[in-house]
Amino acid sequence: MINLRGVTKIYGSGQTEFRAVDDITLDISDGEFVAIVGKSGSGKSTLLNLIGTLDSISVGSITVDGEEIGSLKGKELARFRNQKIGFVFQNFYLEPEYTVRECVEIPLILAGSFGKENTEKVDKALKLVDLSDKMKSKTKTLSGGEQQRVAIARAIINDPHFILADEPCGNLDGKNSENIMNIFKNLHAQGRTILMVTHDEQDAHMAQRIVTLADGRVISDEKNTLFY
Amino acid sequence: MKTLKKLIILSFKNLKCRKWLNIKIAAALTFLTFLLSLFSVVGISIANMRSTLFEKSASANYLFPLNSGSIDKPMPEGTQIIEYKCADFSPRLNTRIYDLNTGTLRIEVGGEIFISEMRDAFSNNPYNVDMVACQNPFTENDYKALKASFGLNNFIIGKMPEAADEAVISATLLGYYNLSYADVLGKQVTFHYLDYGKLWEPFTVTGIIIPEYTKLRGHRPTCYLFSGCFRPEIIVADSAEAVRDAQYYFYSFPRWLTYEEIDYLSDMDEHLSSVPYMGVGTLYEAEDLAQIQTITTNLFIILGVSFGVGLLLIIYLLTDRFTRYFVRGGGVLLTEGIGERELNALTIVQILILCGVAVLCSAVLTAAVYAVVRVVLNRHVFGWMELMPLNGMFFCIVFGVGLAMVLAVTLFLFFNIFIMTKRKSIKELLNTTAD
Repeated sequence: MINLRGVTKIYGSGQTEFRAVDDITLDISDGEFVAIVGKSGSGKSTLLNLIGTLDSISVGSITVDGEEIGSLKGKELARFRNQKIGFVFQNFYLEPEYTVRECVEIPLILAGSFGKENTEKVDKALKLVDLSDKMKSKTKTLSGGEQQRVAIARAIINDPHFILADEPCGNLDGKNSENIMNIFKNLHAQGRTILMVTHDEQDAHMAQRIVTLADGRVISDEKNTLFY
Repeated sequence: MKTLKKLIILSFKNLKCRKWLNIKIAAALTFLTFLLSLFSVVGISIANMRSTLFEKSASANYLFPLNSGSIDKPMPEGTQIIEYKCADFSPRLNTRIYDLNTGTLRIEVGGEIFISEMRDAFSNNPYNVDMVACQNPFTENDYKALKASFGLNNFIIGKMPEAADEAVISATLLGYYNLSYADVLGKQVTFHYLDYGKLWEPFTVTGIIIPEYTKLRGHRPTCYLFSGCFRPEIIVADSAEAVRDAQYYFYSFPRWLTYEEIDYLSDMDEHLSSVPYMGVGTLYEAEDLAQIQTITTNLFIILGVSFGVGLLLIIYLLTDRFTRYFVRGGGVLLTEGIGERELNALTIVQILILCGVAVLCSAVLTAAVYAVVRVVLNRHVFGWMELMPLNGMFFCIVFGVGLAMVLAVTLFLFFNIFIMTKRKSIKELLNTTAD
């Protein structure tokens, strides 16, 4: 469960002050698939970064599974990112010289897991995103769609409660976008909570709930009647 | 323990995945240390050489070095300086090399010693010069042969490659003893020649003077004799007492020389033969050489600075790229759940591994430079300068300077990464351009 209470993110100060996220209060239940939509600069990515602890909150609070994330520091914060959240970014952020296997294994190593156990988990995650045959390929040799699937495998490797995806299909063509969205649907079907930022209406309608932002505020929060 | 294992695994993964960049950085660091070592050595060598040349010039009045620092025995009381007048110059002989009691001039003539009964040949010759020509490394058998066959108990091994040359001897006699052609023409001088441990039959040369040698030409080898030959480091005397009595610098071997010692002596002889007096034919040439050395020094400085600046720029560009890669990678690792402290530790481990490799390579390269400079440069260019501080300790110091440079780059790298990761948000780290 994610609870946002009066969450505000302010950049700059005085005359240059800019509220990227302005007093947002939102509850996301476990197992929900939420799409956050809005125009460019509406604050949707900032909101996702705040939930994912990639940025700090100026005002308000975010609670994830009853844990106030603003108070998390050092090891606790690292454990939170490692165990509870899986990130998927528009630009993938893969290490180009790593093999697919190495890339996916890193969060496991960070969790203090080594050896055969890792091999099994990596195999399972890559099977889920249909990349078992590319295990030994370097990530730089993969197509955009494949790279994003590696990123998803990396995000789910530690079996996190929440997957935060920031424009996951932003750099992909129609076919690849569809594949990625299907993977998200499968992950959701397995019980994972997914928060996805997108500006693509078609992708947004794959989600269960659509939250629309404008100027850092929530202007609509409705269930997707077309969700199936 | 688990954290350490984690950090080491991640470090090696990172180093491996960007191996070419890391190899470039390690190579640049290695060459920086190498260049620093090389230019320090060459710079100090040149400075030392100039100082040696200066000493030579300063001792020109004596025409041979009276550098007390190079002789481990203090000048005994009552040491006399004998001035011997020649037409062109007046060599002043220290009693360290002139035995007043026996009237024997103990000329340290490098490696090749010759004996000539010059007292018989030239009645006005004030000295007995006992010399044995020895073209080859002096061996234990040579000693035995000299003692047994010749009955020699008091002889000196020194260095003067020209000594075996009759013409030079003639010129020396002409120049030094101020003899006229008439004095020496038709006289007989007996040479004893030692070759490969075998004493040749003494041969007598009649009329050793070659008419075309003039006094002027004789001046130069005499200068050699007195300005360059008195090198205190290679004196071996079988009869310790006699040499000590003569107040000569004494280097005692309490036993027969080992092959290693003989090799060492012959090696030194060889160096001295190839460039007998640091390429300084006369004292006047020394002044010219000093000027050349000034130019060379300046050239080395310019080259060194150019290389150094170029290399530092390369290192900067490489480390900048490394930093960017690391910062972006750090951003990714932070999203994946690495702690900030762990990330700092990872930075340190990776940089230490990288610089450790550079330091190891530098050590090997510096050792190679040590050998090259010592054997090639010092021997063939600088004429095997015995004063040149090319010893292990010196190189350790030079290498230490190189290490300090590597450490500086290491710290620069670490703080650069540390500051960048500290200042930026994870999102900014992720968006760092690395390619």
